[in-house]
Order: sequence, then C-alpha cells, then structure tokens
Amino acid sequence: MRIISKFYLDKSGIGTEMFRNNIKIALRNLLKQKLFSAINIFGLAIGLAGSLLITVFVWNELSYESVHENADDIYRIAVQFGKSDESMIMAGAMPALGPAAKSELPEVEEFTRIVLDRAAPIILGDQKFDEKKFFFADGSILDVFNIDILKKVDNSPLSDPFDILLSQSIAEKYFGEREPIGQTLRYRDQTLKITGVYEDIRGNTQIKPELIASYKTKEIVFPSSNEWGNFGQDITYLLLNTNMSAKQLEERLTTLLVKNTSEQFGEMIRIVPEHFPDVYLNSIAIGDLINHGNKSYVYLFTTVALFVLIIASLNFINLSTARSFRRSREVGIKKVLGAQRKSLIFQFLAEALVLTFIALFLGILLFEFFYPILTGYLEVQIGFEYLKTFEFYLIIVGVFLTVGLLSGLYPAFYLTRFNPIKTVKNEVESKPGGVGFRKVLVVSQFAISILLIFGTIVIYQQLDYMKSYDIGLDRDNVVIVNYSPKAENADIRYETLKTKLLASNDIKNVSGVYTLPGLSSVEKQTLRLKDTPESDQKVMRFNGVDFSFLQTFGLELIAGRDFDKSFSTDQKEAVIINETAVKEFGMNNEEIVGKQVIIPGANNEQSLVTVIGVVKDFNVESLHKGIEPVVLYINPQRFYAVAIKIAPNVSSTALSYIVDTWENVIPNEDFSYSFLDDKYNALYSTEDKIFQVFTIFSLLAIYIAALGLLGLTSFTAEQRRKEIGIRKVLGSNVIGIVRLLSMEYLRLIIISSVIALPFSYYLLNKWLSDFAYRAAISWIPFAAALVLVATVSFVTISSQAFRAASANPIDSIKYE
Amino acid sequence: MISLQNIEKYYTNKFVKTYVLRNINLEIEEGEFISIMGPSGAGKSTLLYLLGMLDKPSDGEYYFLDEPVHKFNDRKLSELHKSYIGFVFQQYHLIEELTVYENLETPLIYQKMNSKERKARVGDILDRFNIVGKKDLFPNQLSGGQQQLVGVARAVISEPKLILADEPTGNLHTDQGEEIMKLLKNLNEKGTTVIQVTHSKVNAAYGNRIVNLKDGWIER
Repeated sequence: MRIISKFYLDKSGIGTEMFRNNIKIALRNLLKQKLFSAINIFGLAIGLAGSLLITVFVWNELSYESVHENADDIYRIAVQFGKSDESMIMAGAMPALGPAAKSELPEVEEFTRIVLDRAAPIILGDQKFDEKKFFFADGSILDVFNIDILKKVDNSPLSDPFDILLSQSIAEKYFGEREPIGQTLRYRDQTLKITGVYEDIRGNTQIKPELIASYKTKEIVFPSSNEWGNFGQDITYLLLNTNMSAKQLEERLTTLLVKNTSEQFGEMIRIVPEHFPDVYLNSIAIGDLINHGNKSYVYLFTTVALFVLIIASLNFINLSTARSFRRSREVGIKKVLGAQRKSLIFQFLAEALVLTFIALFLGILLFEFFYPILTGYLEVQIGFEYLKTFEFYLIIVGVFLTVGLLSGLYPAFYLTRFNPIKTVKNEVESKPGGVGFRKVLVVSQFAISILLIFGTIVIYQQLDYMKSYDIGLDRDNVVIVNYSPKAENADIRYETLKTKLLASNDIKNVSGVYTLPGLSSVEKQTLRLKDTPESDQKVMRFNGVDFSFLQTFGLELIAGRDFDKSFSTDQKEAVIINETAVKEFGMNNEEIVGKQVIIPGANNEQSLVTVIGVVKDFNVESLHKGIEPVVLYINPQRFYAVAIKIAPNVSSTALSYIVDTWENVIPNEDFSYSFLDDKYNALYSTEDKIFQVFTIFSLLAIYIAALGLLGLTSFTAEQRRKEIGIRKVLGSNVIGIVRLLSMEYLRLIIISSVIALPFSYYLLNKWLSDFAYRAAISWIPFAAALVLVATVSFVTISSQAFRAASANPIDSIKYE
Repeated sequence: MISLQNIEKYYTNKFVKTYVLRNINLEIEEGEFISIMGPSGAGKSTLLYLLGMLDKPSDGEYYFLDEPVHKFNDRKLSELHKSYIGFVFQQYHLIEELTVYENLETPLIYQKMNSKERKARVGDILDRFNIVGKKDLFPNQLSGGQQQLVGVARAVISEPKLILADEPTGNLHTDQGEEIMKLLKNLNEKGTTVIQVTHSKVNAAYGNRIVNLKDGWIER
C-alpha cells in the first residue's frame, strides 16, 4: 500500500487524492456486487486457510530436531544384521560402540546412549505410575542435546547408579510443591534418587524423555552380557567435531567394530549412521524412540495444499478479471478526463492487492480458528512454532503478491489498452475478452477438483479393502495383554496365568506370543533343509508361540499336526511353517511334514528341528507388505504379549475376569490390554488420517470451485442479459436459455475430466504401489468424482441461469 | 486556434484501407460554436475525437494553439487535452461508482489541483449549474437530463478553452435537450469554443457554423 501511494504522491499531495478516489471506486464496486465480492474474497480466504493448515502440518514434520543446537553434527548409529537389503535395520547399536568410538576416533567429540523403557513402573509411596518415556542415558545426554537443567545436586547428576532426573511436569506430578531433589522413588525393585529437574522439552524432537535415569542404573536393572554382540536397545548418538559423511563414518565405525570383535562379525553386521535431523522422516530402523514420520505423506500433503491454493487463487484471478470487464467504460472516461495509462494500471494493481489483502487477512483469521480444531481432530501435537518461522510469512507474502499481481495485471494491461473512444462510444463489446484465458483457469480448477475427489474415493477403497481383507486369521474377540518376559520364571508365571484364565467359560483360548501375527514384523533367521548344502540357506521369519497359538488366532492347519504337549519333542524340536515357507523349500505341503531342518545359531551351534505341520498362509505384517515365509516354534521364555480368545459378546465380563486373574497372578506389574481388531485397524491409522485430510480438502476444493463457477455464471448471465431477453422475445423458453448458459461450462468440465483422468490415474497408482495388497482402481470412483463435480456444477450454473432466464425480457431489453 | 491540414484517417484491414476521413482542411477560431453534421458513418465522431486528441490522424497536420499536435507523444497529448479540452457525451459517461461531487472533482484531481482549490471549484460549479442538492447522489439516482447537466458541468469545471460534445442531447427529451443547448450557447458566449456533433438542425442552429461531412469528406 505504501509503495503505491508513494507512487502517486507528488509535491502537491494530489497523488493520495487520486489513490483515495480509486480505492473509493473499488470499494463501491465491491459493495455493489455483494455476491460476487463475497464469493471472490471468501473463496481465496478459505483456500488460503486450508493450505496454511496443511503447510503448518508439513512444516511440523520437516522441522524435527531443530530444538537441538548440535543437531547437524549428530549421527544416530543404527545397525543392520545381515547385509542384504532385506535385512532389518535396528535403531539401537551395541552398548560398547559409543564409548569405543569416543575413545578411539578423534572425530567423535561425544557419545550418548539412550535405552527406553516404554512401560516403566514407578512406585512413589502408595502411588503407582506407568511411565512411557523413561530413558536410561549417559550423563553426556545433557551435553549432546539441549536439555535445560533447572536444578541439580552437582555437576554430574547422572554419573552414579540410581541417579535420576525428572522433567518439570513429572516432578510436579509426583511431588507437587514439594522439593523433588533428594527424594527417592521405586523402580523395578530398585530405589532411584532424584538428582535434578530439567525443563520440559518442547518442540519437535525424538528426544523427549520425561525421566532420565543414569546409564549405570540400566546396567544394573537390565545387565547385558555381551557389550559387542548384543544390539537393538542402545540408541546411540555420536556428536562429531568435524564434517563427515555418513559413508565415511560408516567406514570408521566398521573398522572399529572389526578391531574389537572379529573380521567375521564385521561381515555380518552393517553399521548405519543416520544424520540425526533426518532420522524422523527418513529412517527405516525399527525400535526407535518414537514412531517415524512418513516422507511420502509429507509430499502428498504438500501437493494437496498446493492444489487447494492453486484452485483458490485461480478462482480469485478468474473472478477478478471477469468482473473487471464491466469497468472498461470507467477506464475510457478516466482517460478522457486526463488519466494516463500508467496511473490506471496502478489503479487496477492496487485494487487487486487491496482485495487480496482483505482475503488473506480473512484467511489467516479462519486459519487461526480452525487450527486447534484440525490438530485436535487429527490428534497431532503441533505447537505454534510456525509463527516464528520465516517460511510461514514468506508463504503469506508470496501468495499475496502472486495472487494480487496476477489478478491485477491482466485487467490492468488489458483494459487500459483500449482506445478510450471505443469505450466511450460503446464500441468495446460488453462480452469480455480473455475468454480463452478464463476457460483455461476453469478447466484447471475442475481437473484438480476431480483429481482430489477421485483420490479420496480410491484412498477410501484401499482403506476399506485393507481393513476387511482376510489376512488368514480370526481377529475378532481376541484380547491382547502386554506381557513382560523379563521377570524371573516368566514362563512358569505364564503357565499359572494361562491355567487360571482358562478356568472361565468366557475364555476360549490363551496363547503367549513373541510378536502378534498380522501386526508387526518378527525376527528373521536363516535355516535350511537337512541334507542340503549351506548354499540352500533360506531366510524366514521366526515367531515364538505357545501350543495353543493356531487355535487362538483361528489359523488353519492344512497338513501335518498342530503342536501337542503330549509330544515331549514339540517343546524344542518341532516347527510349523506356512505355505509360503513350504514353497520356498520347493516342496508340497504333504512332502514337507516330517522333514528335518537345520537352524544355525550363535557360536557355530546349530539346532535340528522337525517340521510337524503346515499352516495356511497369513499376513505377518500390515498389507503394505506381502506374505512371507514363517516358522513357528514353542518359546515360552520370550512372550511379549498374551492373546486371549474370548467368547463372543462377553467382552466386559471376560475383561474383568482377566483383570482379576492378572492382579492375582502378577500383582506388581501393570495390566494393559487392547483388542486385536483395534490394533489391526490402527495399522492403517496413517491412511485413515490421509483419508480424512483428503476428504476435507477435496470438499474444500470443490466448494471453492463451485463458488467460482457461481460467480462466473452469474457474471455471464448478467453479461448476456440482453441476449437472453432478445432470445426470449424471439420465442425461446426458460429451459432453452438455461441450456444455452449451462452447456458452455459443462463442456469445460468434460474437458477437465479428460485431462484429470490420466494424471490422477498415474498418481493414484503410484500411491497404491506402496501396498502389497491393493484395491483395483476401477472406472467407478472416477465416474463418481465426475458425476459429483458435474452435479455440483450443474446445480450452481443452472441456479444462476434459471434466474436470468426467468427474468422479464422487457426489463433487460429496455436496460440499455 | 485549431488548424487541420490534409487530415486523413483510415484503418488498414488485411491490406485494404478503409477511409474514415479524407483530406480534411479546417480552421477554427477561438470563440466559435461549430456543429458537425452528416449522415451516420460520415466520420463525425472520428473527427471530434481527433480534435479532442483521443485519436490520432493517419496523415496530415493538426495544430492546436499553434502546437504541432500530430508530432506529440501520448503523454504530451494527454497533458494538452486535459488542460484545454472538455468532453460531453451522448451517454453522459459519468463514473457510476462516484457521486456527483466526486465525478466533478475527478478531472481536477487529474490536473493535480490542490484540495482547497478543488473544493472551491466544485462548489462554484454546483452553484452555477444549480445542482448543489444533488451533489451526494450517484448517477443512477438522476434523470437523464440531470446526468447530462453533470456531464457538462464536469466538462467545463477545468475551464477548458474547447468543449467537444458528441450528440449531447441525443438521449434527452426536447425540453432537457434545449436546456443543455442553452447552457452550451451560454458557455460559448462567455468565450469557450464549442464543437458539437449533432443530427438535429435545431441544435445546429445554436452554432455559428456548420461543417457537413459525407463519406469522410467535408462538403463545401
């Protein structure tokens, strides 16, 4: 605004007068065409609000770890067992790696190891707490990451065993107003001493501990025997003092590993250094501190945000330019009265910028209003840090200038080009020029709308397909209880629990499992048929289960027999494999039963087991992945969950029975449960959210597009008022007129769909290729999208067309 | 005051020249009241807008107050026309979004007159044309005659030496038309040169000279 008024300003101060005059005209124009202006401004406002919402979400995903000053110099060291691409990457490294790296590599300034206890039982007097973000860490965690200590006993509050730091909010939760320092709390049969309190960690970071116990505490609570051979638990971060690529660091660390272990071990393990700020979005390592984000969704959402913004902007430009054609006469008169073209161009630009400004202001208000609602709805925690970012304002200013200038430039240069005589002599046709331009805008708007709606339907179909897909097991009425195998005699305790549970009529079956079928990946191990060469080694997924596993999960045995306690050998020497595993061995289901298999173990040991049965294929993981060969074996020492199959429709009584039994058998451990089908559906929570976001934004897109269409048709109808009047006098009926006005736009919609089809088909196929199991894209959702867009358009158009067509022709003819 | 020498105006369309004005030679003295007459399509309006510097001749020379207008660029033309020439149109051409007062003020703003002087000038003209009571109305709240009154007021507010009127009464009834013509005559008597395009012999009679155009030529 200032620049513009400055432009007008000259010695006499007349420039401001002219500017004021122009603004007056602009505002009166706006008020005169209330519907038009409202559509125009509101459309851009909601478009902007919508895309800002997505932008903040995306920005949130991209801005991880920026709270840590050293973030750029930190690598997180993950470890891959087995070097094929198939092998799993574990987020945790060997406990000995960090200390060795610091003492032997000059580039490593500092290391810190974090071990997470996801269900830490804290006892404080007679109160029990179950903490999910309980860290064990080296004292250096305070140097490597930005953690602000508020008070502490000494300069090394994490140096001794049983030292523990609390976050401020945990300290308040436990002690209220009382002084926490020096107090103690009980954790897994140990007494921990509070040595400090730190400020709650806000912002986006994986490092969000609520309690930090010293690493030495971990060494006592969970002693690990082999400091170099054991990995997966110690999330290890190295702070470097020099620039180094991940590749270089990998070489150094591998050398270090080989030096400390053996050439052979170095062959089996790959060290995977990951740049700390990239871990959240890019890492595929499992067992990380928090769930990773998803890069492709960041891209997807960015695209959607961009689309919505483009639609809204196109709309605005479209309506603004359409409206400006009414003003060619004003331009002509002003020229006659002595206005120069330059000042007229600036008038239109200024007007467009002011209008854009109003829309943006409204958009930001809308955004502020919907922001907490949307974040609540999507259950994402996003702070207000975006307000501090340069990018946020850059987007707003960028949109302001782009939309403002584009919507202003066209009328500015087009309208002011006319010779004033033509406009004052009414020689410029009232039919607006730039019809081609406007058609292109309408077509792109509708193409995007169709794409978004089509996408929404396909995402819904895929979601529905996955949720209702028969993964080969019965997931109804299965209660899953978390179980910790770490206690002493966990296997005996499990047997007691199982026996007591089965005493109830409501409980049909109980099986402990290492990992839950259909939900998460399980260990991979190599094995081969007896009497085959070592080169015939296969990689399969192993899951430790109980005898009742097949029945509990409703898995179907198709050859051989189930595990049976009466065979003493089943405890250690029997496996059941799935059909895919059978195929992997190159046999058929009957042949394989009774065959012996060699499973190589650590230290060149190997065990010999017999295949006793073949189970029908079931999905090991989410349907993003295909079915893999699976080996089931009995292993009650490593149950992390207990699956309890209950009778239908008794969930509440069965649950209270389960709780009572649990309290009875395992009184000092927390009970937490969930239903298998809920867990299963939760696998697709990301897709659920995407679906929700797509639904909201495709509706928004079509709404904006329809608003634009409403504006354009009412404009055309007014433009052609006289023509409509004459046609009616000549005998056309209302239907004929409606058809006349509608056909033009409906034709544009057809063109849009022709453009949208291949484009959206390509994009959706790309999205679907992430899934091993995918619903086919049929023509139906596309047709549905098209019908929806066409219907909305038709209703919009014909409402305006009908109004114009039913007006008394005499009025419009006399109008001139 | 005005001298047109061998003025030609043509449009070229696919190498075919369509002439609108042919070999126009015309001298106009200050204080004259000239009526340009002729059948539709004779080039009357074109001639008027040429004189008003809203259009340029294809050929020939145009001197306005001895200035060679045909050699001027757009900016200079605009300077010249806004200080010396006022226009009155058949369709009034008031800016619909502006009130009567604001419409009258607009040419003065373009002449960069300061606000005090502008106020005085607009007040004065509202008085002279007896439309003080209408100053806050918008054009569509006025009758045709009243609109044209404002149109004329707007044309004379910057005290031009020349008023160009394109069928000023074409859209008015006889009574209103007569009022406007008397107004123009009155202005002319006070020294303003007036050139009007008209179909009406009655209106032409207000002037002291008639220029007849036919097919682009001046009929002698």
